[in-house]
Amino acid sequence: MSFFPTNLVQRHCPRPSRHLGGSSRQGIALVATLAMVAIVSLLLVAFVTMMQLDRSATQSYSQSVKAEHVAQGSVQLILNELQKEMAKDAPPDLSYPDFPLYTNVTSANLLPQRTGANVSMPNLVKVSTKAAPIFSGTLMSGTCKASEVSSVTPSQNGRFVSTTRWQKISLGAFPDDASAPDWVLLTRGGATDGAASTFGASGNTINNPAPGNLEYAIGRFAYAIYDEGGLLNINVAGYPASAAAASRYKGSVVWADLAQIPGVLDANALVQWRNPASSATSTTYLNYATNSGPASGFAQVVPGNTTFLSRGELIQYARENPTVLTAAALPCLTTFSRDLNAPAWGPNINGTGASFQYKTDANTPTGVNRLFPGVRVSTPFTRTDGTSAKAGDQLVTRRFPLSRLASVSYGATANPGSDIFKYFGLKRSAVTDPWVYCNADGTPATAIKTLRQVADEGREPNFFELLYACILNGSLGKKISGYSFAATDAADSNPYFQALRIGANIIDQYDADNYPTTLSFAVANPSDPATPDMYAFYGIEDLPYPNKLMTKWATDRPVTKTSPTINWWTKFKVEMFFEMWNPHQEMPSSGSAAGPTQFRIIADPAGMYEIGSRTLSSVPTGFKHATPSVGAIPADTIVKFNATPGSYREPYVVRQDSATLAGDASILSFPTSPAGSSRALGFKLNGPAMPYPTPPATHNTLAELNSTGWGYYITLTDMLFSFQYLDTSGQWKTYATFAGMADLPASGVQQTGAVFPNVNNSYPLPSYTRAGTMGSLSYMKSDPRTWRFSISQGNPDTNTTPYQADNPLIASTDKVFKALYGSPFGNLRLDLLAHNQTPPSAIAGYNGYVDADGIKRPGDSFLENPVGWETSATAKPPMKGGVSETRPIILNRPFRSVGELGYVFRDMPWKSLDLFSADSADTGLLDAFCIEDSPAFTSGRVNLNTRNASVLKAVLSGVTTQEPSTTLPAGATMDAATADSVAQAIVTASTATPLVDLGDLASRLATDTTSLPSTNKLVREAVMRSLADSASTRTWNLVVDVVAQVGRYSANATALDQFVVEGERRYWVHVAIDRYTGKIIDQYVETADE
Amino acid sequence: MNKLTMIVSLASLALWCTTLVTGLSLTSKGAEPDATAPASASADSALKPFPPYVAPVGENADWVMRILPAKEAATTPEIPAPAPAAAENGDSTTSDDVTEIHMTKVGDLQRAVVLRKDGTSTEYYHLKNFNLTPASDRSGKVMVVQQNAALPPYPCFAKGFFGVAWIRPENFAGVATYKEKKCFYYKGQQANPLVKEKDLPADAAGKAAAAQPAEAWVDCKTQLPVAVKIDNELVEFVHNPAAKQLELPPPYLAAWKFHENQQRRLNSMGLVR
Repeated sequence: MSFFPTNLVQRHCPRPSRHLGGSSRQGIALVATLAMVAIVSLLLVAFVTMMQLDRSATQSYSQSVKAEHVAQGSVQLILNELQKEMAKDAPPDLSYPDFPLYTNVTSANLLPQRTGANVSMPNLVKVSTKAAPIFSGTLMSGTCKASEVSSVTPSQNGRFVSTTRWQKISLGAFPDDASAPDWVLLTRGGATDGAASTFGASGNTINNPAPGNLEYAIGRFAYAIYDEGGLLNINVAGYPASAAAASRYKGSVVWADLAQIPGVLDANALVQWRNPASSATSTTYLNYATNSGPASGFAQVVPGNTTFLSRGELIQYARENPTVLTAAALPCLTTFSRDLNAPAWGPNINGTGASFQYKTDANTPTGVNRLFPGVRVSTPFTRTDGTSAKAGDQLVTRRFPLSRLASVSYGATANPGSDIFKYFGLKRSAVTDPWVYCNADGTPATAIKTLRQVADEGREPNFFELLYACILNGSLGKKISGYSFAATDAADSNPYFQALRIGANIIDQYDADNYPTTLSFAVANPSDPATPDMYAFYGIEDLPYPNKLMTKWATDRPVTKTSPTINWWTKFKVEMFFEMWNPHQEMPSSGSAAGPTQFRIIADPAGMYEIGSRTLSSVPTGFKHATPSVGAIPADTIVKFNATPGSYREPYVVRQDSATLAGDASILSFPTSPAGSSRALGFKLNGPAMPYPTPPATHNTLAELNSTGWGYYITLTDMLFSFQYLDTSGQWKTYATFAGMADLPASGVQQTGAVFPNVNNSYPLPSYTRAGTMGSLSYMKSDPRTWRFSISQGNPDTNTTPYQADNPLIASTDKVFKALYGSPFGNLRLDLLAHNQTPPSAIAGYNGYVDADGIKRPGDSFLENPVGWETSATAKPPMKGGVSETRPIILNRPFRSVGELGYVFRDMPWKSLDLFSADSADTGLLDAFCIEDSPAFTSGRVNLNTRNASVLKAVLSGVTTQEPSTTLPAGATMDAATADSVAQAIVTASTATPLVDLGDLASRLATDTTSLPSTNKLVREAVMRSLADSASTRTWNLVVDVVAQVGRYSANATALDQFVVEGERRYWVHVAIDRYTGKIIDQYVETADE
Repeated sequence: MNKLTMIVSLASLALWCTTLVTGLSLTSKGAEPDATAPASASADSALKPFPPYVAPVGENADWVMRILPAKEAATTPEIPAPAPAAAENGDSTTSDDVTEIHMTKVGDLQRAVVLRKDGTSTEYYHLKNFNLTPASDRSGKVMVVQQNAALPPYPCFAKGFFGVAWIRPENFAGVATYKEKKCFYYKGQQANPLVKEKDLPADAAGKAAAAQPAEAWVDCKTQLPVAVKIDNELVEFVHNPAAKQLELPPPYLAAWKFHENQQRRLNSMGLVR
């Protein structure tokens, strides 16, 4: 230390005697005496000197101890003030007095209040200043306020702390002396700014040492507090060059690109020095980043690696290794950052309707979407990690690691008590069975329980319960009513169903295979409570899905007229075809994923049809009416087809292929499909006889008959088609339907339609083409992956290549749109479901639909102007023919970032989980889940509200913006310039209004296509993919740079700057405080490196 | 949906009207009602129709509708009927020469037994606004479909008696006898409820489709319909003593129970908040 107490030794030199004797003896005696005196004097001097030295040493030690005590007291005082600051505007919830909880955290009070900060120092949060107390709020203000004496002002004995010294911490440079911290005075009674202090030898003055005078000054301290959470933790961040390829998936701050930090000259060398053991190969580093590191929350050093123990060491490293790291990097780096690995998300918006007051009801026990910290343990229990959950504890203390999804594999089984059951609530006894979602007691569940219900059961929530708690409830269960061609509205309206499907979709994104996960869920049966109705829900895989059901109406022979004879047909047929579509991008891994290749279509045995003839009664008598043909598709009539990974990437009719071309008794031969010699496959329904065996002469042409309104009709009831694949055990498994709940044919197609046979519709049918030969009674889904919103009546007659670039994307009688957007709606464009916002310019009748909670949530392509989609060559809505980059993705690999949940289909047409829009209902997922299993607190997350754009730039840079696909083999990553642009935008946004959580970021950047110039959801969510596991907002990670001096004011002092410094201590105190509980998570004190 | 499709969709009831009335030519000269149309509304001028003008179908009822052949078509057929197609895939549809429909109603349950010229018959049921129709292939399967205004085949299950919806006091044309039964005689037009004029072809045929000439004889005492003639097709009613019991036969009952269970399941999976 260069600034220890002054040596206050006072020299006392005894004077020699001047008295002398007269004789020699006397002289000898005198000499002897003098010698003795001299010796004694010397001894005395020596003694005194020693005493003085001892006294000085003792005093120095004493002052040192005093200084340390003053410093420690100062630190404690500052930390107490910081904790108190959290209650400055609203008191904590003290329902459990031992566990206070701040439930009113908003952007206005999320962060520590900036006091005395300056624009030159983005990391600086507070300094001790005469201008204001450490914090000030509506309910209370800090007691720690500085005097008017600046720390740069010399004391009575010349001691001061220059700005140069303050900058030793290397977190910023004070622009001038005026910005430096001021001294807070410490008296026997506590901290004071000295404004009311008086001087004088008596009374309660600041310089009267009389016992009992609490105003007597004993020391002073000054501080500067920096936001350490907004820095990159250099003990975690960064990767060696050998592991660069893995960095594109992010998933933790490990994958931050240190090269983007100014002053980091050799990131590889730095990481190699820090992680010599883990950096041996890319594999070892990947293992470190995804296994050993997360296992300790990056809080422990893996054997063989090293770490910076303190900021001082980091500074020293920069000093000694200027070719690796210069001092310029230090303001972006820290060695300390801690964060609770517990979700703190709570809804921050309200919907419409009493059931959807999310924000208002975030702390209401019956609420579905709760503020996570506000859900307390009511019944003590033992957590799955073996720790005890006490009453009053937060129910969810650790994020759910998505790595657990690995256990719910294609070949797994689980019984109650197993990890799968514990973490997912699923059980099955055989691989070929569906997973059954269960209550904690193993019985089939009829509900996904709320967090409150879970707490009351004395356990932790499972995967599905967390999903349900995080997704805003009114965004689930959207239905339309009254316009359905298939009775799906009841199932559509069930939010449990949708949550389960989303859960299954998450599982199927994660697993490597293409076998859809099947979940079974119970619905209570009031008439037989012991036997609930069970329903199956299928995850979405990279497979073809039924897109359309098309009917073709034909007669057994063409109508010809050889005057005067007309050759009428005698029998009438209806044929059904299916259009399949795998709407996903074809990935490089698509061909290697294990999955089904053989498929079939079966009709539910309950499904029936009636085909009859219709006429107006004005048709002259003499005609006869044929008895309607009523029947069912025979059980043994099955359409089989094959599909390879490349099949049906564009919508296409089910057809024979090389594997089935040789002939299969179950395959019906249908007309030739347009692409070649293979034949379209489908079902054939028998129609009635020709109703008018003796047509009158006045109606002797088909046109004349048609002019009377004559024709055929068809009625379908319970017509549910199941699409099945052949699994590895040789069993056929349903994975999709057209359209409705599997095993509930009443939710299938229920419709009546009419058609006029065209003279060209003779049987056998001509080559399959949509144009001109298909009947108008055809149905289409809004999205092949779901039957939500039922089905629309399509019009293949006019849509020659639906969803192709040259196609109007129009359903002829689109009841879905009428239901969603209201009537009239002129264009009936299903593609607008991928937009679902108010368009930039008017599209007649279209303004987007709202969910059950009254909130209009966008489709995946909402940033693209939908005007002209159907004709524009540059528009890229995902359903458009030939488009690739905006089509959905099936990862078939473990999630590398929680942000990759944005790839998951949301079971709504053209909507995936939304992590990028202002009205997202899904951003809670970002906080409730993590990638790897980690302990209760972790190191390394960056505070999203950092003012340090370089830090965010490093985290963002290089993240995958486009997954590699067959059309974009290399994929794409975010370049440094874009990362910088986005980082600057985030800092700007958070500086204006702090971000409460990651979801806030989605809303702030939702429509910003300047900093992130793309309208593609997959690209835009790259921001979330990089930040989701690397950022946080709930913890105050601060470093307090405190200088404490012990001393006094002399008896004759008259001003506060006349403090006599007798000792000093300087500490860098690193502290992490949870904003929601005020609890200090961790702290570390280091002696300042000067 | 194009206009012609709509036309046909809305013309469904008329089809059955036609079906019923064009069923069979019993005689070569066609049917003539054994009725006396009133020379004038005079002979029984004391008799006046009174509300409800036509008695509603009772809670329990049993009646037969005999479809008499329409007048011979004005134009003699000059085009030979095609040869019947060979049945395939279990197809068992037949031409529909309906001669008689026997209606029975007990409470909510109705039955219509349709007899045809060839001696075959089909049993239809109606319950709670659903129609139960057997499969044509006589496999025992039964189709349960909701009664729908757009569905033509079941006018016999329409509310009230067939073909009398158009009867109003202003259509009263006098008192007449029909097969020795004194009747209120009505004459007017039966509007086709399934046809909207705007959907019809803008020609004479289209206009004719919107409404057809209609006559009706209603028993002066009971106000039960005795006969109805619409567009030259005649239906006679024979009212039997009310049935006391009617049950769904096993195949129909099984289909109905399946349907009810499906509906219950649909209803129970609805909105959960």
